[in-house]
Amino acid sequence: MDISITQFGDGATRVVLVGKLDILGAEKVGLPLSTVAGAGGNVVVDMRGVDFLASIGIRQLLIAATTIERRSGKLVLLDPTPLVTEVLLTTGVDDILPIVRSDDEARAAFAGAASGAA
Amino acid sequence: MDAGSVETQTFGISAGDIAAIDRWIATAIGRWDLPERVVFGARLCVAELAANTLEHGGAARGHDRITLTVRRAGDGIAIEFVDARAAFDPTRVAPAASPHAGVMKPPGGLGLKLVRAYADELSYRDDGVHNRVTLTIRSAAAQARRTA
Repeated sequence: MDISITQFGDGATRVVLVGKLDILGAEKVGLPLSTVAGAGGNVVVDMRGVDFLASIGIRQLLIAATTIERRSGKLVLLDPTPLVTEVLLTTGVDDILPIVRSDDEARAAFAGAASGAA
Repeated sequence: MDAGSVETQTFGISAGDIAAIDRWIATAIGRWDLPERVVFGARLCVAELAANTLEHGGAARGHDRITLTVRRAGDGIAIEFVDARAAFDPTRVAPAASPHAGVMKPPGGLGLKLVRAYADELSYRDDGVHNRVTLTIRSAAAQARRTA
């Protein structure tokens, strides 16, 4: 599992994950993901390169999402593969980990969250 | 059944071993030209069972190993997962509730929820020393034939 972190637009962060988000992958992304979440702001997690997702990986994403939500931000998952999408929908986490299919959808989700919080 | 349609391997129980299990199962069943979702489902179920054994398995009752047997079953796959940790029946655990926004603590039980969702058949037997979980994952086409 590889992780890279860049800016996403104005004040948001893009986290790009590539590889297997399994038990070892979750160990690897745990600290950087929690650091990003603790910094505040909106986060888009680019899931296009994630080819395997287990529940331990979902737990890491949920921890990050709830931390971000506490700080009035939002985390969205960008364009996971169909197999990974099925895992997310099966566990019923799409309420906390909403899926978007493009950068524009991510921006719209962040804008909607901001207006909803206002 | 030809000899090439069954594979068995024994592993330790650590995070590194779970990663090795996934590599092994992907390679073993990858040779069988099964639908992608069947292979993914098999890897996912085994990863969840193995992680559950590692995280919640308690004290070992015997040789502390995971033994996996995978068998091709048409365009699906049958799996036997054996470990010697404390008796635990995954078919009798209440499914995890879906988490909701505003819930700060991620719920447990997501892994077993996935196993139940992806396995078309799931059974458990405690032989006194070992947990023996057997499961079958079928292709969508095979599922449709069974329900037709």
